[in-house]
Amino acid sequence: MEIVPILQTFRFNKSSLALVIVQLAFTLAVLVNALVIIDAYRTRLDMDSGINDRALAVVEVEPIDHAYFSDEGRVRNDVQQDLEALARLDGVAGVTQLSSFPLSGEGAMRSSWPQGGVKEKAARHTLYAGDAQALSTLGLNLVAGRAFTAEETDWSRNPTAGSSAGVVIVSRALAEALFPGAEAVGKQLESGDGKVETIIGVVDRLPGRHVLMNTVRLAAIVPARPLNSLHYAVATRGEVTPQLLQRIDAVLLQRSAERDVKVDSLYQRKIGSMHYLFLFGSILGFISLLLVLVTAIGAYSQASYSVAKRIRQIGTRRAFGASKLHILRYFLLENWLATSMGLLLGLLVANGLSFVLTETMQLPRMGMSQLVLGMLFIWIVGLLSTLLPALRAASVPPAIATRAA
Amino acid sequence: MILHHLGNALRGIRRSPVTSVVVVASIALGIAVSVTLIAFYHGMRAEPVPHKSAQVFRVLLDNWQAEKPFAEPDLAPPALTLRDATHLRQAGLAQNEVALYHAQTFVALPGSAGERRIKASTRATTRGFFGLFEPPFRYGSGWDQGAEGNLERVAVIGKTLNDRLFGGADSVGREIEVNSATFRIVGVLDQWDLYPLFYDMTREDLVSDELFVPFPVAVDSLKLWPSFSAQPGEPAGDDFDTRFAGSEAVFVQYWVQLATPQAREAYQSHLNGYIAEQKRLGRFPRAAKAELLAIPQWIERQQENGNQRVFVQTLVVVGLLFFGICLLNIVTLLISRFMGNAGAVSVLRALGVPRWAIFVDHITEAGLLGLAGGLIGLALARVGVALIGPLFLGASDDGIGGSAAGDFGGLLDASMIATAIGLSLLGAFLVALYPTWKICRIAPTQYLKSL
Amino acid sequence: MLHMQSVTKVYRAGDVETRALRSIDLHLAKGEFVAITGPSGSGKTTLLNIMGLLENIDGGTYTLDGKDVSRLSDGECSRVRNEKISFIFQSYNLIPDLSVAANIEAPLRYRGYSAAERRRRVEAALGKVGLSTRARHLPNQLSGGQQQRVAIARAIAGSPAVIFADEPTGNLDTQMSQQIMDLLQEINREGCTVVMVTHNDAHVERASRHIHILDGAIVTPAASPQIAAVRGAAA
Repeated sequence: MEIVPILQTFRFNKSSLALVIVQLAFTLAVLVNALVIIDAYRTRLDMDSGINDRALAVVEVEPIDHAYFSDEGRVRNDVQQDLEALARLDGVAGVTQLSSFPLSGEGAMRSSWPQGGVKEKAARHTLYAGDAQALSTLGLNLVAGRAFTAEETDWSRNPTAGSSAGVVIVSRALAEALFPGAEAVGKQLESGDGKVETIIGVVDRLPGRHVLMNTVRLAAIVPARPLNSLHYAVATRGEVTPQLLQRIDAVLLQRSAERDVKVDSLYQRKIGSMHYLFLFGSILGFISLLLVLVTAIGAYSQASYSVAKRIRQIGTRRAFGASKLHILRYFLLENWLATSMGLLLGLLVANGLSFVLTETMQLPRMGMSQLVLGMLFIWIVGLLSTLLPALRAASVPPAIATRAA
Repeated sequence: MILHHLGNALRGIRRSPVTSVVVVASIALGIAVSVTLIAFYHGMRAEPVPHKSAQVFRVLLDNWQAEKPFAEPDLAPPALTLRDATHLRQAGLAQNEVALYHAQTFVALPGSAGERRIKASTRATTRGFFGLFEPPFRYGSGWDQGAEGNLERVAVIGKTLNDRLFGGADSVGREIEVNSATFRIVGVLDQWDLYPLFYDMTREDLVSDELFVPFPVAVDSLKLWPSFSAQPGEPAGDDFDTRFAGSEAVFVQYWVQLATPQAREAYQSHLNGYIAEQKRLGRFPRAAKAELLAIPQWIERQQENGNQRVFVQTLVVVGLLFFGICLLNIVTLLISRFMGNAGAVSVLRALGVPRWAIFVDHITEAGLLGLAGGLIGLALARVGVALIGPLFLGASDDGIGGSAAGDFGGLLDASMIATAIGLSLLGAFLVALYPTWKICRIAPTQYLKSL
Repeated sequence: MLHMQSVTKVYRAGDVETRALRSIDLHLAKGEFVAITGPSGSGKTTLLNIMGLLENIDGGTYTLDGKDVSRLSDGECSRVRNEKISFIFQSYNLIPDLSVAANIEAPLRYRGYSAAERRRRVEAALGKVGLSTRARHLPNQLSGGQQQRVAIARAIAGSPAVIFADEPTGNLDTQMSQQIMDLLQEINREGCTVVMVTHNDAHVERASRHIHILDGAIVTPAASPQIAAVRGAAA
């Protein structure tokens, strides 16, 4: 291999080598970070959150007139009838009224801490309010303590302010964050304004309001039936189908047309909540593909120029016994070395960009796999785009060497 | 002389059509990507009514509790209480004062009971809105003073809603049902893309408004629940009047037009006096703070810590770097292209053509290629904003909105076109400098023998 | 060691056919120093290319060092060139980006020598041409004569059976030319066959044999008595 002589010739082409290196470094940086984002998006999308979001339909009913909510009796009545109507539908396994839906991107957050403990050590978590069917409908797995009783689930105009029964169920992650290594059931939990609740149960997993939050595993649910919103979660037998969504929509509008109904699968809502990540990933992904294309054109023109400049040299090498393969190998190796230098610098740039994105947009840091994938891709593209000029070089006839200069 | 150099440059371009195409394509691609992204950034900060930019101010009064500010660091809430807005309006000291807020309504044609209604992004506003922000009218106009005073149920609708309900026909005089009340249409807007919705800015994902109703009607008779509201402490109550009418809940967004610095000063001291007066009544517990924010300042404050801002800024940086990479690519191409002409240049030099003339020929050639790339890039950017624009608003779920239906062509305004052409020319000259320098250094005899 | 029988070479450009060589018969013995002369376009460079396996023949047979090389593939030609043949060009054809040593070393790489063996041969060849102190210089830091001596070092580093020189003194002044011719003669005396295209009558006289080409055919057969006499005097 002619690595040393090639490196020697690089000394005389510093400017074009620098161009290639900068170009490749930046290409790698953008490509790898696009991969990081796309990866983050896909893993969050497929993350096992503890809730089967493909088998849950979420319903938001919005009364046309907001004054509707001042008539408490009417709200209670409508909620009861809506839930009954939904439960009667074919393919529905369970229904519950919730203040907000896990992973939907919306919902209340609060800080809680062990009673008497330091407020600074509070855990920030999502808070849901729901009726007695909440646990079973969401498919939550109780690992300690008990579920809500029907008596505890009272109506509330401000459900996420806490339950009148003073009880709360927490996710295991939240229990461990608040009471590390200790039994959480029976403990008292304090939140703002001197509110105190007793933990009566721990569920295996309950995801928070947004899949991109660092605190997505920290959540709690209090027994309270909202009087200020009409939000229902519907557990389906098997995955949610468009037909079922249509039937839910129809049955609720049929009950009253004086309202708007929005119904989705929870999975769809989760996708919606990650819209910006999707958008950023798509744009960055598209730009990095363009970058690779531009880089390939660059590598091609660079190699073509380098071959054209060295026709006589190639002929001389051939005259002295270099085979076509030797010449081909020489140019591919030359490109590969330049590419590798660019990728080496690219490691630094990619890391820097990843750092910035992590700091500003709360994205995950880049990993080894994305780096390796990005580098492999660029190596292959680099070799492919040099192949044609290198073949052209290999076909230079040796007799060129004796042609008059 | 100029024509002579242009002719030489054109001949240069014709001599190697393939590299010409690649150079133009590279610049076009770089311009397309960077200008598309810059356009969104530019749009986020654009001045929607440039000829009034020094005259229109958002009014902020800090009525929050003494213990903690509305937002760190010591920021006033972005809206006013209804009573403060009413007091300001009654004083009427500014040339134009507009009170507005956003609500969600459901719209239908009369007699279509039982059918699904159209969810419309709705602006409850005083009539000064149309004069202050100058939305483009397609039919009719805003409502008059009398109608507003008499609580008449009149409405202006957006283009998209008019298309949906009336197939785009002149609907002035027709009636629509808004929630359960009947409104008469007095005006229809033309396409009005706003990104962001500068006169609101209380939420990042708000789309353009499709229905405009008189503020007094919304507050007094319809009692339209505001999309954005906040109060220091617990809400006063659950029905509209106790929650919003006499309480400290803020939801009214207030704009004034003050034509001169003197008028602005006078208004500022009026606000200060108002706060002092209210303090005597036990309100405004915090240190007195009354602000008049010009539109750019207002946009800046609301976007400062927003995700969208960081997001778009990052993309702009990536886009510019992408353009830089495209340019780097061209350097090699131009070197090989210019050096391919070394023989002819060498002869020209031998025949007495001065070095500067060779320089001008080649830099003009690069400039022409850059210009072509810039123009094509601009056309591609037009496609780019139309493709990405809807995605930017795709997260929003506020029913139909004007912007979502528009194609964002407005983002590529004159300043963006100038940016695109300026960038492409600057880029082309920059990358041509080194190759041109190389070709200019050719000695008159150097390549004569190999011809 | 070099035998050509009825060798022909035809160039085709579209419909135009140029008979560059018409039935060449040529036999060279090991250790000969052959000068080839002829006017421009007579085919002497073509003959050199063909003898040096830079181009294929269209007809006839060609045997080099006991091996039939008339119909070799491109790869086999490369191998034979690498092992048995070297070249010296009028414009030196040194690689401008490589040092003197790296230039001499380049052809040896294709032969698979170890680094140590390559270094030994480079040093020996440089010593022979008297440029040992210039190993790390770049070609453009040397005079024309020095560059051509580097090219000669490159040619002899692989111990070829035959060296083809294409007007090796064409770009040099008289004094430099003398040095180069002295070197070539010395190499020839050490047993290496040398075939040289030249325009210079003085240089022809240094050769052991003179071949004149006209319109693609050899017109002066065998060694001229005149040259033999010169040789005798030298001995």
